[in-house]
Amino acid sequence: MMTLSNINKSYKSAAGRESVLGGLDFQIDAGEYVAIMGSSGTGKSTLMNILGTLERPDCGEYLFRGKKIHRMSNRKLTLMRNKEIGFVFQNYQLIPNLSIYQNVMLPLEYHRKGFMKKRDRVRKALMMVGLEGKSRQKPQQLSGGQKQRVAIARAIVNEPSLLLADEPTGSLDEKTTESILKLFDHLHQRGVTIILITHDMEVAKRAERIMYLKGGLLKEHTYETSQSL
Amino acid sequence: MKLVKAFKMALLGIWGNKFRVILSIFGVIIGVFAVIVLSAIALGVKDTVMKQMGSLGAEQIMVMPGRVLKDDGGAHNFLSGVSSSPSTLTNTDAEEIGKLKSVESVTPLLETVGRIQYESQFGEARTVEGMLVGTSDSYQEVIHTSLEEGRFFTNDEGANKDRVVVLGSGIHASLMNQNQNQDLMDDETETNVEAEKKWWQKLLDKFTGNTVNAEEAPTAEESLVGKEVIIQGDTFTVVGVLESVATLGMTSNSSILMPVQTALDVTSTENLTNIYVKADSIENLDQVEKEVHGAVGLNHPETDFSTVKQTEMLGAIETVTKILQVMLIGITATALVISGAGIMNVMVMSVRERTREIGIRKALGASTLEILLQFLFETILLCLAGGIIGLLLGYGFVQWWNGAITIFPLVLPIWVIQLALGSSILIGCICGIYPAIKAARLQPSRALRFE
Ligand SMILES: Nc1ncnc2c1ncn2[C@@H]1O[C@H](COP(=O)(O)OP(=O)(O)OP(=O)(O)O)[C@@H](O)[C@H]1O
Ligand SMILES: [Mg+2]
Repeated sequence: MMTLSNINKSYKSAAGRESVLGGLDFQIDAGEYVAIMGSSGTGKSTLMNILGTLERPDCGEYLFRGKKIHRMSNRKLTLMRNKEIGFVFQNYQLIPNLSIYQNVMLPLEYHRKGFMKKRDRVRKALMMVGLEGKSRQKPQQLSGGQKQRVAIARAIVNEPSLLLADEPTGSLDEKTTESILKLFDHLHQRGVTIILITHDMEVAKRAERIMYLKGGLLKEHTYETSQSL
Repeated sequence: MKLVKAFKMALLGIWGNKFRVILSIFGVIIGVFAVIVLSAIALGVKDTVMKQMGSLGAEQIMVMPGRVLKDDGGAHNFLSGVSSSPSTLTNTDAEEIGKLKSVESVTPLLETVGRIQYESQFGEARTVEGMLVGTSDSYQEVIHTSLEEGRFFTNDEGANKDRVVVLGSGIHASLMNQNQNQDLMDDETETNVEAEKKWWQKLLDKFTGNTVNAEEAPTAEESLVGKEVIIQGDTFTVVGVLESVATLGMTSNSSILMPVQTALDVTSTENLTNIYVKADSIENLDQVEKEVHGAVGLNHPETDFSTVKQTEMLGAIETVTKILQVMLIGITATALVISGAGIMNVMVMSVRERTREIGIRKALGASTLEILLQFLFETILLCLAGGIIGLLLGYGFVQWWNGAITIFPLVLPIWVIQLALGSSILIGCICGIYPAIKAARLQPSRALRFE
């Protein structure tokens, strides 16, 4: 489904250019469930942005379903992103002025679909995360865990083929974490490709494959790498 | 589709920032309100003056004291100076003009402030001050007024220096006022009946040919026609009352009209204020003007008067209103630019504050164009809302004025409304484009990291 080869990404900083990703290679098949681990500041979110086409790598090739992402225009990327990818951002990233319902509706706002269909989808997504009763509330009226679930509902409302989740269980208790992971399992069974960024080994173990980001490269998780965690 | 979406987003965006929105559109509200009211006043004044001047008729030539400068083209330049010398025009001048074949009528005008006194049947005297006007019977035509009751004085009465007077409606009412108040004190309902009767009487008079003879005049205190009044120590007979008119400036409501010869006799004034001349045709107006000039010149070896055609007067008013309009446009532009700058500032701040929102929207599928339109619409809507509120306030003011103040009506033509709303939208477009571009160009990943 996705093939990344020799991806480089660096940022300007006070001390010149700081390389985050250096020659990263990564491949994932459709329907796979992959967990990405790594210590803070290693570039996991940066990688997610590149995978989600929010950011372009400095160099390297990125193929998504056979399409050359690095050659596509911003407009086409936006359209593709809206249809194919669901995002769970690291800090929920809910719009404070909008209600929960409106926040979940956001990806569908830019869809050409009938109002009724959109409304049903939003309700279904909220139901899946167990927040159907909160749709009229504002984000600041919710707890951290509830906000996280709203972010997940928003990520699945457009029924994406790829789900990118950056620390989706970061602020949840065990019980809620388990229900979210069950939901991910369910989506995985339905054929959704899932990339899950986490610090929690227990969470990562639910994925089929665990990758480890270090030194700007992605490595397959093995016993040795886990020792160095 | 995209437009509708962006419009909806813009509405939501405004709703989410109500307080700031109200503050930011304050400038637009005040700007549009000021523009509406000022244009209504300017147009109202222009309309009223034009109506008055225009009603004189294009064949009118006015002889006025002093010299009006002429510019290179020979046209009178009213703006660069009318010398304010005392009048030297006399009734002899008016008579000289009257001898001209090409002149249809001459209306001399002597204006001075005078006092008029009336003693009612109850022996109560009331004195009122008014504009004493000495003129001829063609005055009615010049001022475009008709009689409420009675008749106008005739030229024969003028030649005989008869002590006859026609009262302006305001003067008439003031002289009657005291007695009416007494009635009010006696019995209120009776006054109502009286008023009713008066109204019927008026209607009846209209049907029967509007010639109420002085002797037949209604009983008691309903009208002063046929009664005697004292002006400047002389006893006059009231022969008529003018219809009331609500206008600015040249109102005849407070006039005390009498033949010019009589006026010359009873006042200390010897000179006319000006003379209206009506040419027999429009075609050779220039020729007539020259003749009139010559006729007056007979007794004025040194030219201390001017002859001005009606069309020139209208031209002068046009010029004044044009200057007014230019000033108005200037005020509008200044007000809107200032308020526009305020709105732009608010929108730039808003874009900065909502950086994360923009990042989220772009990440979740909003195109650059959609973000651009959303913020552009937001600014346009703000300006338009301000414009509409200002317009409603201005409209309310004009309505109130026209209901409560009768000096002159304010005029609010549709084009002023269109201009006000159009310029609000234009300001919205101009001031919205920069913040909108700023928003649209934000890079989603960077915007998402914005704290
Ligand atoms: N827009 C940017 N400008 C400059 N530096 C950036 C930018 N985005 C990321 N970085 C840098 O890239 C590095 C990786 O950041 P990133 O957010 O990807 O880390 P992470 O692995 O997600 O960390 P965490 O687990 O704490 O979320 C950091 O050192 C960060 O300072
Ligand atoms: Mg991160």
